[in-house]
Amino acid sequence: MRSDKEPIERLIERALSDYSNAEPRLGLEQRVLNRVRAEARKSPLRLGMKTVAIAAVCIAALTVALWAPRVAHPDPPANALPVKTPVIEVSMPMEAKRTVVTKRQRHRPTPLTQQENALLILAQHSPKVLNALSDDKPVAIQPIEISALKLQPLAPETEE
Amino acid sequence: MRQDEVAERDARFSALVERHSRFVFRIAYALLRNTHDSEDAVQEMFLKLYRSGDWNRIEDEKSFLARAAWRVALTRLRKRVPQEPGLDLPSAALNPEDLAIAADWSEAIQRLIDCLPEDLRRPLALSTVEELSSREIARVMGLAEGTVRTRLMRARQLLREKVISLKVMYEKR
Repeated sequence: MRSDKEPIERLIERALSDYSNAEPRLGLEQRVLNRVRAEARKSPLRLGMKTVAIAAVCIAALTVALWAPRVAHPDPPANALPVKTPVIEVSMPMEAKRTVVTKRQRHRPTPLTQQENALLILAQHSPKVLNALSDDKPVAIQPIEISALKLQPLAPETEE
Repeated sequence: MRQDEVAERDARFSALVERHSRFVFRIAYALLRNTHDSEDAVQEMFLKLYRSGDWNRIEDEKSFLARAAWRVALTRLRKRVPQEPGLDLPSAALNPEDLAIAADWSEAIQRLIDCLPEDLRRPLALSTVEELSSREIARVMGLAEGTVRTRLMRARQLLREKVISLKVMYEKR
């Protein structure tokens, strides 16, 4: 090995300066510029293609939005409050008179409302009240009588 | 954009490439230690720079390009080698026979540098590229200047110890 008598510090410095002395192959600058120019030529074409692609996607989306059949609304969950569907009274001859209900009402029973549930509970516990309500008879209001209050004296306690 | 404006812009970019491509190559080479990979990194970096248009607004060209080249080279290195903590790159042969048959001390010491831990080798390698200062190295690597100084000191210390061991080994032969 050459230079083995050189001081260590100088050896290290020389090695370090050689360490980064790598050279690229000839014409690196030209290769870089060629690649950049090729890219620059491609860029407008690529931009044009992107524009066309975006426009095509927009047109397709618009077409679908305008022409596609309307999607039916999904059924509400079972525990949701029932939707009050308006019942439309149509003036018709008596025999033909009927309540017009929507298609969904005809085919699917709607869950009871809070008021209907309350009425059901009332009917189970006190049918008299329900009868009174259903007969449409006025309920006679009786005067409230309170009997006289009598307090008995306390019995004297017996001592043992 | 008008034709003459495009031509003028291209001329300015060409001048930038002419001025700094060698410097950028050396920054990439400090990390990658491979001529082909470093050249690819140079091309990739300039191409990204051209596309972004940032090169029109650079204040400190050298510092900016050094950082950009370092990032591109680092990405390439990560793709090339699976990231494992404590993995030293490159794993040049470090056996006494190889070192003994090295053409001279400089070559032997370069192999020793290659075998330093990466966190020490990288700042040391950058310090040899056109004599970048600790501050510039810190900017390139995204580290604190103090960290870079400490690492440079440790790298040189470790290298000195290895060279002494090598010299002792060589003298015994």
